[in-house]
Amino acid sequence: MDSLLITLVPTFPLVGAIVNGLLLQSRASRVVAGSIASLMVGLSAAISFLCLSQLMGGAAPADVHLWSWMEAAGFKADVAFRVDQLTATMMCVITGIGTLIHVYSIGYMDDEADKDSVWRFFAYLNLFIFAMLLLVMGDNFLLMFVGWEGVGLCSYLLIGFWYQNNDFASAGKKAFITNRVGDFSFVIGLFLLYWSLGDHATMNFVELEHAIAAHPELVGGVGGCVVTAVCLLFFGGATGKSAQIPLFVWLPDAMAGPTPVSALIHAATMVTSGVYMICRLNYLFVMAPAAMATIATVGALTAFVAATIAVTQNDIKKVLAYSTVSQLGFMFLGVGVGGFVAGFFHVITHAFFKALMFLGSGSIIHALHHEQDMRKMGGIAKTMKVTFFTFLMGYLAIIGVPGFSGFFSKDEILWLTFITPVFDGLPLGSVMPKVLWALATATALLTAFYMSRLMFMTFAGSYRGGHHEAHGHDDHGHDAHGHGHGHQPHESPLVIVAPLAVLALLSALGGLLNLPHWLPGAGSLHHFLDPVFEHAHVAFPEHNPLEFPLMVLTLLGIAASVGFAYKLYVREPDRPAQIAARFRKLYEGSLNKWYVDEAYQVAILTPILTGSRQVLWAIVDAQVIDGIVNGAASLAQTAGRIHGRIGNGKVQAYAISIAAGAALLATAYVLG
Amino acid sequence: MLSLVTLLPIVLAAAVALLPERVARAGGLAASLVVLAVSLPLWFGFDPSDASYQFVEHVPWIEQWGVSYHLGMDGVSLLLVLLTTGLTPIILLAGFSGVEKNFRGYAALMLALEGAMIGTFLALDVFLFYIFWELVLLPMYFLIGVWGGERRIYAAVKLFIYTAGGSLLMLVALLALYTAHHEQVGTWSTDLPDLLKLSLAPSSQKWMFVCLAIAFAIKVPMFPLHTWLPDAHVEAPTGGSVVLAGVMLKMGTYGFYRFAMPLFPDAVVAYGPVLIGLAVIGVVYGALVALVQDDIKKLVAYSSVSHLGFVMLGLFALNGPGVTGSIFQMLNHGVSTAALFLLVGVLYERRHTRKIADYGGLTKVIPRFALVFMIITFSSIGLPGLNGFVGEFMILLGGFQYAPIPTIVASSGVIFGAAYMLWAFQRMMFGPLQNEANKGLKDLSARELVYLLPLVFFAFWMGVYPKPFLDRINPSVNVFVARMEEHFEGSPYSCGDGCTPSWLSKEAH
Repeated sequence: MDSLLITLVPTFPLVGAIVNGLLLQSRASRVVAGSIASLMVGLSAAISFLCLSQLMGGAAPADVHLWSWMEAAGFKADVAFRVDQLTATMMCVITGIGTLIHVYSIGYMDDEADKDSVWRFFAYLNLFIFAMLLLVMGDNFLLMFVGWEGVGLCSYLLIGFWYQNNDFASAGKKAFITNRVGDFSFVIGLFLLYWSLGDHATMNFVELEHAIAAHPELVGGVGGCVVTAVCLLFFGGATGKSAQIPLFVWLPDAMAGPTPVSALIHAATMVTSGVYMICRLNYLFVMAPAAMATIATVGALTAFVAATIAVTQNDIKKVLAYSTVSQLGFMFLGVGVGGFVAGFFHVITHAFFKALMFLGSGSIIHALHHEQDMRKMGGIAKTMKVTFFTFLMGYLAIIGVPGFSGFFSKDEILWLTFITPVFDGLPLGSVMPKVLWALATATALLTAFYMSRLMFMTFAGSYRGGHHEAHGHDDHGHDAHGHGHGHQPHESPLVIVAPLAVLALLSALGGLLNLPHWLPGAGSLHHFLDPVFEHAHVAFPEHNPLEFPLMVLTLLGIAASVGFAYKLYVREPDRPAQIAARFRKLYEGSLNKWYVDEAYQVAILTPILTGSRQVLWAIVDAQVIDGIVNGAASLAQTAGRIHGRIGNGKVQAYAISIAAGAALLATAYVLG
Repeated sequence: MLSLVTLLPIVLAAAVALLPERVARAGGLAASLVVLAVSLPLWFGFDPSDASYQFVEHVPWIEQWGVSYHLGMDGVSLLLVLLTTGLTPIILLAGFSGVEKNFRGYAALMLALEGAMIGTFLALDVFLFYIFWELVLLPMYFLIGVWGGERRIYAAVKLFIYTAGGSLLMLVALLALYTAHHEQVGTWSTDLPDLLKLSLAPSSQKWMFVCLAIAFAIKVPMFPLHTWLPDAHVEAPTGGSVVLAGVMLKMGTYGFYRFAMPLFPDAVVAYGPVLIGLAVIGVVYGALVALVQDDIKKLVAYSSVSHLGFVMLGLFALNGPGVTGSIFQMLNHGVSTAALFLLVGVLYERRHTRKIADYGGLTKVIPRFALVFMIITFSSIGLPGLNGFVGEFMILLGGFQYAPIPTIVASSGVIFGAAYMLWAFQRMMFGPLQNEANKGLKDLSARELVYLLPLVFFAFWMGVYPKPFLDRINPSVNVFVARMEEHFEGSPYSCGDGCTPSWLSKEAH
């Protein structure tokens, strides 16, 4: 692989961001800005696929050293890239899906109100691709962290893209700060790891892998408390970026951003960084079974809790957002039970089908002039046929219909969870796999239910929306759209539906990348990624008679869930309200996201703000410290008056008294 | 060479004071640019591979007292001097619009201040240092007292009392050191290299260190000696705030680095934990109080308390990454906070209010300002790729080795930092544009861009390619760390085998 070509991969989108964001600005029309941005990501994608094909052809991973970044007494970090099998795969996902979403955005961002700022949108989007590439290409922790926080910045900018809406701006800020909480954990883990390595301390991934392989005792060996702490702290970072319990609260709010952003950043790429990071450091995590158990448990719980919230949401993007949180939980469950490739495979398939469904929802939202409430949709299958058909592919993939991509990745995670040997030495280690499996399977059934609910409410029945003139989010004007449309939404233009078609194909066929062991041509991704995970082979039991029965059981459950949703939302549309009324507490809990935001507000935010204002500032600063200072000052002032020198607090009084005091003390010390 | 850089601004200050008011602007700016031009050769002439003092000038001054005129610089002094000479033209150019009366007096005081500050960064004789240190206070006092806001007298007096109180303690410590030299060596000397050779009993080191530390801690300012800063900043004119935050606070941290710590290493062993504790309290406390400010200038002032807490933590980590990061963070703070105060000044000149609530939705009317403000905001909260991250990361990495728990607490300041800056940014720049008075705001003018863009440029340069700076800091820091380590055998700071911290337990369960 050529160093120059590799360097160009992140350079193109950076150039695009600079051209649109600083040079052209509002001089570039939507089509011009969008075309430049798409072209730049497209070029990166072309090189990425070239790299991937070379690696598949057996080429060795490439290292590109650009310049020395930080250095101080043994501590060193460079600006340098390393492209290995894992990185190249991520690069292709990022730039490939990135290109599709850039093209889609040219069609999506055609609102009059955005005309003057659409260049900003494309500049941010390019900047995001740049940061995301740094995250996966950096050959050391520091450069990875540049990307890690850089994607957070772009996420912040894009969530708050319509910054004149204060709620949207707040959502962006919430995302950034919540991520910072995770980053805090991440850097502490990094400090701990760095110093524990002693003379072998390094920030470089390759050097780290060698150091750990050669001297596992540095981090305490397998099960050591240092390595466990490090891995837990790193996972803490992942809970922020990848929206897991307890830091998942920012992701649903992040839906304030334009829908292509939700598809690219908050579904397909950025939010999977945490899974990528764990895969990148697989050799560390396998040394810490307790941390792995924590990851698997948090993943499974997040998957389940998010699914229980998705069940009652009415905003189509909120359903997809909680579904994303839930699917991310599956990925963590996968890596947590030692199935690194399985978890990573789900990253890829999820990127296909979730990007597809977000873009599909965007197509609908766009056609309905920013209506996102599914209660005002319905019957859209008839009028938006391409959108419906492509969305259907995503739906079949996420609920796990055999043959579609999601089936293969999800089923592998479920199965590996059931048979994982990773927790064997831990307390409750023998029941844990079964409990996690049950939780994950229940989540799969819930997923089938809420996704079917979404499908039926959106596409089935007849259209429940009214005229469009009054719609639009807050201060976002849509006067230009008031005319020319009938009451029924129309299919979106080609520039929007073409990316949908590509993603639909990928969602349907993505399973081919990594077929299960009972099919011919199995495990291609496994074989390809083997070198990355050479120090992390988990010995899963080979044959188990339960594999197929459990799969069939799950499939039956999924079919039942779909049927139940059909009964509720198509056959007896009055029933959901009756059920909600009967289980009011449960329904309202789910609808209000189990009040997690409110709990954080009461338990964390309010005490910090009130404490800072009422105690630290008003009492400690203003009364205690300044009280002493002002007291001393007025004492000096009084002294000044008594001496009849210069009256009211003139500086000379202090100067003189200070000089006199100084002389006095100095003499005392010199003599004493 | 160093005398020229130190004394030229003071001479030019006198010249500018004599200029007629109508040419004072051009004259003042030209004078500061001349000083900058004169200081730049120092960067190119400085040999980064040489850790000793360079460009040394050493002549006897008051021989019977052992006082000498001794100037010299290592990489740390070099960068702080250039920070000073670089910021002064920016301050004067910014003052063209903000300073409404008597510009020539303003410019003259700024130049005099510049000379005095350069002197403190170059002096290698404690008597000379003390003179420059005291000299700094006077122009600052008048800058606030004459060109300041409504409560300027209160603020100026508060500043004066605090710092004069500190100076007094410093004087006591220096005099004691001076006598100690006479007792041990038999001659009088105020020369720093001479004083560094003394071997003082830990008990006397302790009280002398405490005196010096209080003097410097006031300047930094460290919690709980910080309350002069918010008042001084709020009342100071924009240029005053810039020079205060940009350069003057570093005199305190520099004082620790150059004098208090190398002179009294045994005291550092004893009291290091206390200072680390106060530094960490400062980080969190400053950030929390900044969070609840309604006045943007106060917010930035408290953010300085927080940022300087990081600097102190790095210094007392006493290892390469920590101290280097700390020095680098001094420069970062000089760039970012200076830019923040300039930006606040730009708004204040247009709207005459510092209340955050009076703004809102400004991005729509002043997009260029918004972009610069955003870059500087992220520089201030340590976004990787910009300058703040490099310093903060190295400080925390270094700090963690010797004081893991305090460093973990300090790291939380990174979260609060993002919170108060982004919240303030949102309240001022995002949301609907509701206040009528903001609707006609003018975006950054060409002159304003001229003085802001260099700072933006440095924010990127120091973030992306800090090597030229680190190369100049590292050798000096290595000398500093080596001197400290000599004294630490067997102390809680010593780093036994390899460099693995002793607190790190590695047994597997």
